[in-house]
Amino acid sequence: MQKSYLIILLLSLWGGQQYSFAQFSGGRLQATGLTCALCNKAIHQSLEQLAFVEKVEADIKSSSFTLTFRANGAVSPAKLKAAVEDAGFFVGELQLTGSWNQDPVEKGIPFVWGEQSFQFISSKTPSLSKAFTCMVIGKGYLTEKSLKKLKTDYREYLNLDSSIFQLLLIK
Amino acid sequence: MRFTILIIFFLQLSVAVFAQAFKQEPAIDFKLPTSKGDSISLSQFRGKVVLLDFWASWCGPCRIANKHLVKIYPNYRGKNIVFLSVSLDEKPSDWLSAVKKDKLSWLQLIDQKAWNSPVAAAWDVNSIPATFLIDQEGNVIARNLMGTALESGINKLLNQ
Repeated sequence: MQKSYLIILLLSLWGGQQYSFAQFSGGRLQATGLTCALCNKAIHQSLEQLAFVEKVEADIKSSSFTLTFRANGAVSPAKLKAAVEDAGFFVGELQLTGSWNQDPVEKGIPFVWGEQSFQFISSKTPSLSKAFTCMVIGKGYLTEKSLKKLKTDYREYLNLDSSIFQLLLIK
Repeated sequence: MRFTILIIFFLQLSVAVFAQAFKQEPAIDFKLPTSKGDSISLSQFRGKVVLLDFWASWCGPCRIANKHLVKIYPNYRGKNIVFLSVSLDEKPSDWLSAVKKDKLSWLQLIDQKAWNSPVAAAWDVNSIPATFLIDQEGNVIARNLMGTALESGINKLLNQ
């Protein structure tokens, strides 16, 4: 009897995780470096060559790249970061835009998208059927200055040593 | 002795670099449209000095460089020189509003293939702004001249 309860509990947990996922449709990437990152062909092509990236557009107003991801593409912040660094620049800020297909997750509970796990660090979590924008928090995904500030503001939630990508909901 | 050899080596190296930077190369011809759809080719300006500028509306440093071009352009109106801007904008609307905002009154062309532009690739343009000075015979004389160096470069060619 106890055993079957345990199985049901495990199944429901497994099922719960299965249903809880987000879909990242795009993002905004600000790159920093010695020269204007927007004006450089290498960074543009480096981002465009990623399998999950459909379109890269330069936006002068936010001096950042607007990214459109392929539907069901395995969005990887690590690959975006590597693409920027391969071109000789650094990520100054990386925002991801997404929506929930099923129930959104709570703060601190990891969810899976593509090959990667993510979790929200703030108490605010996105609501269902609404598009959300979040910022990737981690070394190499922000300027040192912003990371230092966030480390202080979200000390209790932030786990930078985790392999799970830490996200801060913006809207 | 060793030191002298080192100095000679670096002198030779700097001479080589200098020579490379000012090596004359024939300008690679291209054909691109204006906002009205007219096709303009570079070679039709043979016999004139050409200031060729690759830029885009989304490129901040290009927009700053535009200000300098706008400032010097009246000094060359009616002289044997053509200012030719090639935009690497994808959207013509972005391009045209930047042309209007920056008050660019010379010949404006666009390659909507942006960074995939074969023209930019042929000209080895890997970052913008990229400016080229082409002489009356169609040779590229200088690349990326800024500020007063650009004006003296143009003046030198015009007075030849």
